[in-house]
Amino acid sequence: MQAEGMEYPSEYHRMVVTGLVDHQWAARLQRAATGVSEEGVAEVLAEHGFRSHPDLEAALAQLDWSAIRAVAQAFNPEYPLPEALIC
Amino acid sequence: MNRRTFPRAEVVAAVRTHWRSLSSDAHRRAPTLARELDRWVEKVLGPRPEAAFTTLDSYPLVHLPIWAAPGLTPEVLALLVRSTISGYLYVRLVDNAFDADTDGAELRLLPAASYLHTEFQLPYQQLYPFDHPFWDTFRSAWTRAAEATLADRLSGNPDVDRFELAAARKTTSAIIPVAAALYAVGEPCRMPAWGRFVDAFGCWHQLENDFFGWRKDQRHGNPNLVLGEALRGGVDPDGWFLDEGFEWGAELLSRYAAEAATHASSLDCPELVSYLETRLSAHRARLDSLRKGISEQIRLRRLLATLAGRPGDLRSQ
Repeated sequence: MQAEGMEYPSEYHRMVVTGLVDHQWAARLQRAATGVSEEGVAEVLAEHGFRSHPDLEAALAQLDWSAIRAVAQAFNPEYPLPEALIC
Repeated sequence: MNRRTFPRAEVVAAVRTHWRSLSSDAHRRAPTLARELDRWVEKVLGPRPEAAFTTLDSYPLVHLPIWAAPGLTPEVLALLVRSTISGYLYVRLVDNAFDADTDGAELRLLPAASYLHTEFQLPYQQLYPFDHPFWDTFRSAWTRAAEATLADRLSGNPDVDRFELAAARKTTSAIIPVAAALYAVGEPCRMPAWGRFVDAFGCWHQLENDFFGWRKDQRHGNPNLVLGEALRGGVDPDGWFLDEGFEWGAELLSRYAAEAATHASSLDCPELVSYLETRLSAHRARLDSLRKGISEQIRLRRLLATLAGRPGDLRSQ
């Protein structure tokens, strides 16, 4: 499956999980994953045509987003701040 | 660790004094070179570059001589600090150009490398005549580091054995100011023990760089032990790092840290031991805090995989 020229889901996963950014959509997802909130991720998913999974938002809400953000930043020294990730 | 012992006040003062002195000398002798160097240094070390030499998480290059030779005179300490600042900038300039870490700014600045190297070597020439045994150490350490840097770069992603033989030896030239200090106080017999510590600490220090910088190295095509370990297994490095790589790297870091601490404990240098305890404790605390994020990223990945596994159900038509 393709989404705006990006292979889904592997590239999408990679972008969200690793903090690598070179695409506007991925950048928005990354911003949501690293700097905003679980609602941010769900919102971007919805904007790009993914209906909300019944348990998705609840599951996202249970994640520790500050811990996820800390990992994304620690292992991406070239992008020390979330703002730097935005295309 | 007693906060009064690191950084040492006289070392901080010497760094500040000689940073200003080196800068003013450069502006007087080579204004274009000095201006370009100023810009580059601020870019790579921040707005207060001199502070980078004495922070806890930087390599303690300017502290090693005074730790090895507490009786060092202020005059000799000043010369070693001046040399070490220049030597660090020289190595950083060449490494950055070599590793393609930046947008090529260092390539434009390469002529400044000869100036920095001269400033690195001149203080030693003030201390030791040409036939002094210090120069044997200087030559062998500097050559070993250059050989290791080139071998590391040309051989691709290393395994652990090759990492220990090449990459980890890139910092072994740190023994040069230590040797100068030990000769200055008449204790060159202590050099082999300090050499073992410098090698062991170099392993830990370089692995820490590789561990936290593997994605950056992947993007730039630089050799990296963590990336090499993932690719040898034929797996996606990102997934491997979350599932196994983080703990694999943390365990190896722990082993190298223990080896460095063992060598440090044999040096009769309480300040070094105290520094290491503080540095390694901060490092372990950082890893512990990241473990939580790693487990959360694994949960996120599984959640997204669940989502992706049912695209017909989840994506609007």
